[in-house]
Amino acid sequence: MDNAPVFIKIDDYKDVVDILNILKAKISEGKSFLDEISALKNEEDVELEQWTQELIDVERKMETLEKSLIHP
Amino acid sequence: MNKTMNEDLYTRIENPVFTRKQLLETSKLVVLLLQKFELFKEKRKRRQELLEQLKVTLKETHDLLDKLKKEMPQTKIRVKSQMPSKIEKMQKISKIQKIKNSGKEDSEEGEENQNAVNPKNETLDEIENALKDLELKLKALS
Repeated sequence: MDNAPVFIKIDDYKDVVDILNILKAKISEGKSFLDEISALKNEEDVELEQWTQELIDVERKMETLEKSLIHP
Repeated sequence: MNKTMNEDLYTRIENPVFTRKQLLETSKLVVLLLQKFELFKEKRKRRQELLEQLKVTLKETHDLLDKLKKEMPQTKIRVKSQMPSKIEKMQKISKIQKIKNSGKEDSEEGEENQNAVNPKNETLDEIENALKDLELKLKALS
């Protein structure tokens, strides 16, 4: 009985189709937001990795400077 | 004694040009890092904006799904009669948890005390309750 077919008024059906279309658009919008967020996150990760390397470079240069200035 | 203390002292730098170059290069690297940091901050801001937009879109999707549910014809396809008692039970458990959590928070001061009245926590509780209700309904249908 629970699985028996149900009928929707044609006016309501139009509304349902409209809602479904809007829902599809919203989901697509959400997906594009997520794609952009993901891309930004990847860029941030790459940048953080580069920062680590660059800070190591700064540290090395500082060591060289220290050697020439403090322990000539 | 004072005279010797006031005298300037000098140290020898073996390769001054190299040292100066190193100093300038280090300074340049640090400035570049600062510049990148500013760009990074802009990216973070953009990401935060996108997250907010995503939240709004998800909320709208949720509202639309609710609307869709209301558009569906009223039939006897309903959660079985024992379900309200289950839902009530779940809500009671949720209330007890809330009371326990607020009790813990009352004993602590400062930031955690602010969380007790934090609307974000209330929203999270509401979402959790809605999720439990949906799971119960799905279980009843299966």
